[in-house]
Amino acid sequence: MPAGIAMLRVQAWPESARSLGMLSLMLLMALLPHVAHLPVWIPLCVTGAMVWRLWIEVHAAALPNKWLRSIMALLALIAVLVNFRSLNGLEAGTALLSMMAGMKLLESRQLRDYSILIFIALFLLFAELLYEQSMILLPYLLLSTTFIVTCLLHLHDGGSQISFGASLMRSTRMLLQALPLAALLFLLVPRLPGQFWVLPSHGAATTGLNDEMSPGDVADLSLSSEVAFRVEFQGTPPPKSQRYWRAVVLHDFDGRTWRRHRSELLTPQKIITSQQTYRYRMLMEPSNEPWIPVLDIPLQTSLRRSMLTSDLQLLARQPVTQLIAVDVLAATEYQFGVSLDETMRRLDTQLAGSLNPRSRELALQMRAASNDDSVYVNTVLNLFRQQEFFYTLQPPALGAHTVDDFLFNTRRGFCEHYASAFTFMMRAAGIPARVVTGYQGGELNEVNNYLVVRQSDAHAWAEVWLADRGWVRVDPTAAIAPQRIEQGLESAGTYNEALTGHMLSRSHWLYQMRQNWDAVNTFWKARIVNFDSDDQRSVMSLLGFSNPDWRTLGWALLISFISFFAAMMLWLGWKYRPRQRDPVVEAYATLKRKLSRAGIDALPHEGPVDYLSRAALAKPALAGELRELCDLYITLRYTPDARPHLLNRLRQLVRQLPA
Amino acid sequence: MSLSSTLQQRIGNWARRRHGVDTSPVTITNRRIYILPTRLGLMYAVAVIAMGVGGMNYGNNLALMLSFLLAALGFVAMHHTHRNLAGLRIHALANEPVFAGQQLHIQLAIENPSLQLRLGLQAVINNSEDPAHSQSVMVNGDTPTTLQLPLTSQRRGWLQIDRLTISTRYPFGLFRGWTVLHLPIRCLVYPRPSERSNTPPPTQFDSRHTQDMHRGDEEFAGLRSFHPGDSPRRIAWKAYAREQGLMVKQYAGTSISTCMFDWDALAGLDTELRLSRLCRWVLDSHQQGIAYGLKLPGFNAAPALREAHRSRCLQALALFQGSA
Repeated sequence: MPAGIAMLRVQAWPESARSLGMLSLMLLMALLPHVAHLPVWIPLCVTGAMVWRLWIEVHAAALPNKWLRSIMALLALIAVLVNFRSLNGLEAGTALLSMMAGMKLLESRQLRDYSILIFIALFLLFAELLYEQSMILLPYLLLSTTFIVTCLLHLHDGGSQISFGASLMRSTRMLLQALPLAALLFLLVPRLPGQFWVLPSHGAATTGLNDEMSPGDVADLSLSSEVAFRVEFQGTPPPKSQRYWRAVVLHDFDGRTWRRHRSELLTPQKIITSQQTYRYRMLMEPSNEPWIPVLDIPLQTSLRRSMLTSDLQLLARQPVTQLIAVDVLAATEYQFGVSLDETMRRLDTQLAGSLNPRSRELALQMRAASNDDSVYVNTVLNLFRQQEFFYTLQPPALGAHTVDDFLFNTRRGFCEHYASAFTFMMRAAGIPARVVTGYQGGELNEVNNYLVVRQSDAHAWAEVWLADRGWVRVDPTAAIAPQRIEQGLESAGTYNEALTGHMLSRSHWLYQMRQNWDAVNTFWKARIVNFDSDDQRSVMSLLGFSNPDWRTLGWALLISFISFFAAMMLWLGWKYRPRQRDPVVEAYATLKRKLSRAGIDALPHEGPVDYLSRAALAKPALAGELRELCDLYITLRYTPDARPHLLNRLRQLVRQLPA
Repeated sequence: MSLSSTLQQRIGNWARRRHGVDTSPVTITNRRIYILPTRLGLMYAVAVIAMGVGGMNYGNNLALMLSFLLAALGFVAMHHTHRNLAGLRIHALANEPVFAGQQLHIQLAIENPSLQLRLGLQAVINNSEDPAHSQSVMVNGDTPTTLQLPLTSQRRGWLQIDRLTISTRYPFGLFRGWTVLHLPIRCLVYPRPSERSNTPPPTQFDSRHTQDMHRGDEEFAGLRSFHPGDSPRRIAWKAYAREQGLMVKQYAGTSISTCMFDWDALAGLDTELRLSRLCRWVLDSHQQGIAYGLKLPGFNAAPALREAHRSRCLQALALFQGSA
């Protein structure tokens, strides 16, 4: 038989090869979700090791010797090190773990080695959860966990005495039995308020938002319908036109690119707000960026270790790498920064170099024709409104004088172009102005009343400083395409630019489906993924413990453990109870007990016939019953298909017999 | 004696005091099941705790859930390990005698009175230098399963098994549950027969006992199976023709040669050597159909040629305590 053919006939594999095949399959299952974030050579190497190891087992060849294995292990380590430039971090750690699995497989021969492989598979699953906690992944994770546990059972049942299917049944049953305790632990084990060590992450920013904006470059506007964050308002949410989620404020402009200021501005600002405030809870998806979008002016937030800059950016101390929940009190009617300090004025009026001369000239002309700054603001907005400006998601690239090119030549662009041009025109006229990026709008899901803000809702607008009024939000994009603000990105722009993801919203039925799905997802994120000490407290107060401390939780845990152990013992005690005896034998035993209480003991050599006739002689009053009992017993015991009513009669007679 | 073996000895003695000596069949009750995590179980615990700490650190609830599920599974496994042993009934089966140096099999039967399959059960005899492990077996509710524990006996006499461990690592190998049984199991070990030596067993043509009773008449007394060395003239060809196998005709009173194997005849040899040689003679005579008697200090068996006689003689040799 040519080499390699034997590999393909799984049925003919030796038992050890089948075990290895099962373990390889298990490792592949654990590795599969990682394929998305690992370099492709890693899964290839691991698969190669699997095929090699199986070939060795099927053909009874020798394992690679110690030297070869050491060299391969060293090469794997170097490869990971070169690829990730570190062995620390989630990506490098996962890569190393995967390579270790392959190496371990090549030297595995015994049960102990196999057990290590099972642990590696469990850690790979664990690592996957650190990457992603989506609900879609959950069934796959449950399936893999079950498979891994089944492998563990199959290896330890004492030499594969039961089939793999039977092992699967058993391990599934045990996992189901473990589920209640796992759920109780999940509810009751106290959560830590923050991280006590941080794994360095190489993850790139995933949002549609950047900390810089270059409207002149070829557009790469995020059209992703991925969720940026979800918001649950207490009470009615603000109208759509008021929903501006500020995230990043851009001050520095070099004629082409807007950037954040190099250092954080931390001078406290005086804020005056009206009674109109909104209290909401935001569930923010990981963005790998520190800024947290908030509705206009955040008055209070529950975010620990964060800061509010003087231009009102809310910044977390560390990039947001996990789903977080933030409670915010925000105001949409406000007055802030009325007394503008000199630093800020200089910062927000600077225009470097001599770029965009035509726009500067136009700005000065228009300002001269206006009575005051607010009139000038309207004049510029009217320019966009009345002249031939178009809103498009695919604007042409702009030349060196980006603003000039946009205002006088192309006149096509999206929010960034308008925000940039408007802010430039303000600064050119000496009015402090800056670009703000964030999100606008969001879609209210009627199923659960959550507002869903997607990456495609990313937006850019301007803030200008007007005397007596402070910083005022101006959205120049609203001037050119009002429907952009009223109905969201998908209805703005030209027809063929409709977003594929948003095509769904045209069909009512699909729209409903999507809303429902998102509601389920929100529940998942809010209640499961983001379950925290606050939720723990509310669960405990549902159970009647108001304001539980760790001691209450400890007691609850202890009681859970005891009840779980008791339940397991009862359940398994019932499952493993001794087999039921033959009902006929049982009835006869009762009969003997009754008779012996009456003084007629069965002798060791006596069969039922002798015994019962003797009893009938001793108790003439019961002679008829005893004779019938004897006949019934003999019939039931020795007739192959005795009818059930005979058994009932036997039981009845025994019951009626005086004790 | 090392510390751990002393400790084991102590624990063993304690268990013996606690449970007393058992009689077959013995039921494994909850009281006598011990359970401890294995090395794998400890590794598992460390892995699960590591996952829990990681999940806690990152506030990653799914990772926490995974570690909680695995932790709970560990506890569930513990219960299953315990239940896998509980309620089993162990029967000690009779053991065939063997010769010293031969392998013997201590036989046990495990009966499962419940409907649940019991898996991965193993019996260990650990009172000798090299513990005897049985195969790992499963027991269903229908028929008892027989276990065989291979032991090699080097010394003649009773081989006494005073401690027997039944253990299981089912389901995941995370826990080992075991019970110690003190069943009166023993096996008779005959002396090791010496090599077929050139010294023939001293033969006596006895004329007083066996022969006297059958003098003169060469009466047909029966058939016995052929052994190498039998005279071809005695072969029962008719029986052979009837396909009853090769048989030898026996006549009472014919050429009755009886042997008397005497301890004193072997004076000058070491005790065990004497016993070995006597053992060899008993075996050979029995095989050759020569009636034999055995005389030991304190034991005297008149010549005979029966299975029971052979056993009796061999037992006497096995249990011989030394010359007075």
